[in-house]
Amino acid sequence: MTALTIDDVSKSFGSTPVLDGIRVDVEAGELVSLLGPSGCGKTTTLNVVAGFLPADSGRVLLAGTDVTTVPPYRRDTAVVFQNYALFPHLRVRDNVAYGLRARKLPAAEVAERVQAALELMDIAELADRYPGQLSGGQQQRVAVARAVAVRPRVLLMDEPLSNLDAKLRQEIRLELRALQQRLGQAVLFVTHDQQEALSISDRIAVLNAGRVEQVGSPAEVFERPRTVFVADFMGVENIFAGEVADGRFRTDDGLELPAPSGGPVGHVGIRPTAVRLSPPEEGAPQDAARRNATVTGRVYLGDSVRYHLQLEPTGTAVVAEQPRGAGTSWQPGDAVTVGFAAEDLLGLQDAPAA
Amino acid sequence: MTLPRWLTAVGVLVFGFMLLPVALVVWMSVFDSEFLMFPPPGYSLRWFTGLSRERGLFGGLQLSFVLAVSTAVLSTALGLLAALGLSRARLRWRGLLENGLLLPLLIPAIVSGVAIYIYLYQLSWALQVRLVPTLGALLLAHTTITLPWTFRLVHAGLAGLGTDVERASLDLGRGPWQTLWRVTLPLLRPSLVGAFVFAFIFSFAELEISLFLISPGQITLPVAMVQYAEFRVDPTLAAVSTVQILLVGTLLAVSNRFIRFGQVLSGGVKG
Repeated sequence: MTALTIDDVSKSFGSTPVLDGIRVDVEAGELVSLLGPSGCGKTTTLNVVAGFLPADSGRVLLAGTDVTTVPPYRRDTAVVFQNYALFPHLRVRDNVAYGLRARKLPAAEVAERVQAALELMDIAELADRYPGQLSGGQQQRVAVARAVAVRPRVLLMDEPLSNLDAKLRQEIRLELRALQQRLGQAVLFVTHDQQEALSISDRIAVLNAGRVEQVGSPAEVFERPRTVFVADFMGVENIFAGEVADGRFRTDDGLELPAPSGGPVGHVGIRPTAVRLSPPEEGAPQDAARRNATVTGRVYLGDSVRYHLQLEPTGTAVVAEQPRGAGTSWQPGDAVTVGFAAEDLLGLQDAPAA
Repeated sequence: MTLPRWLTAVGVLVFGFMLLPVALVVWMSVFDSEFLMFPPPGYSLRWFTGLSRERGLFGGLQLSFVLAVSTAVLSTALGLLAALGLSRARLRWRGLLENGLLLPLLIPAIVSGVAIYIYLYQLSWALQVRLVPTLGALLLAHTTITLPWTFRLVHAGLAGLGTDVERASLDLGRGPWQTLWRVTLPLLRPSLVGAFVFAFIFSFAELEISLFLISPGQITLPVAMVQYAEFRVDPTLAAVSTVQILLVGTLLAVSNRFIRFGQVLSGGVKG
């Protein structure tokens, strides 16, 4: 069953369009991420789903029921806010009980469910503290406990991990995912962090300028980005504009590459890790295209080394990334051969098909 | 952090400058002499015990207290409503309205006093009801001049709260009224107490506007003090001032138990 349907929702602030026909579904038990840079409309989408902002057009359905005009306090959603938005004047216990008491549940059931939510988040011993006495990570747990305690149809998470330090973020990310799967909780998860979205989601909707560019599993979105924007966001740093002619793809500055499979495209992309470097005039036999190039820069990243290259004769800039210790180490000024395998070339559309 | 010595000296000097008049007034209130003379011939509490016989001053103290409490209640309530409306509603002329509420600050109190008097006097003729001088007029005037302060304090408090806690409450199933009662007002308490205290002190010490609006026999303390000082100069005034200082001091001390004033005045009330 579909827990949440965002059906063709548009929204403008004044004359500025913010959402342009957003369509996203969240199935029961599924975690769907809205991924995009700041200003892409992901938080606005969440606010429309929660009922904080009215949609200009389109519908929001919760379990098949149209809630587009229903106020937030009658929607079966619960938000985990980016800044947690805990009630500072209430103890942790009363924060978690807040939504249950609003639903007029009997006191015994409230106490029971509060306890269960606290234990679920492993914060039972903090029950009598005030939010101001908790660390950021603990506040985050209280925020999640408060939201899951009401067992919402859809849990809405607005960059819930962005205020935590990197190590804690990875831990809590795994924990949240395990929790979500155990509860079978439908979640709409807003993030700008590509890694976070890839590691936590069942499906990812990549947003750009108020539009959904691509929806798919983490593997689909990462390995088969369909548009220039998605590819760029997923770390495809080498993107060439051009056109397909006679079975070849010819870039605007004259580089010839094998045509990528699947339809006419305006761009071709290749990940830095898929760019192969070899000594001048050599090259791996599987390379579908080879070019001589000059190394213009080298950045040591620990596990890998990044090379900035200039292709001859066009001067096209290319980035390559090699695992540390793999192949030769190059220095700026070295002449190398750059090779691309045909299967690594990604055909990219300029924009999603309307 | 250690402060440079000269900075400490400046701090002590400034505080001394501010507190010296207060200390002097308190000192003079226990002089055992009919006139203010230095050094005093001796000390006595007779000016305090005699206060209740000074009907003008003592009545003024009572009236001013009642008026200040009423003003503080009314002004805080109105300031809260204005702040809630202007910070939460989407209004076209919001900036204009917000600044408009601060306008009474720009007008000299004496001008406000004359203006309110003339306006109410004319209105009295039109309605054939006596509006000045009445206690109602006094309350109205004091509320008007304290409203910029109460509005500003509550408005800053609301801005400090942000909208997310209110959204969280709505999201968890409490309607707008319940949210106001269970979340917004409790979190605004420091701002509200601050606004109340400010309005009280302002009204309690207000002289210029009251001069125009008081009725004979119902005189506020500052006006009564001015009238007293026209005829006599003895430590009675110092004694009544000391009572005033103690009253305001107690109010500040009590409200400090609820809030930290520094936080309210800087706008942050979280936590």
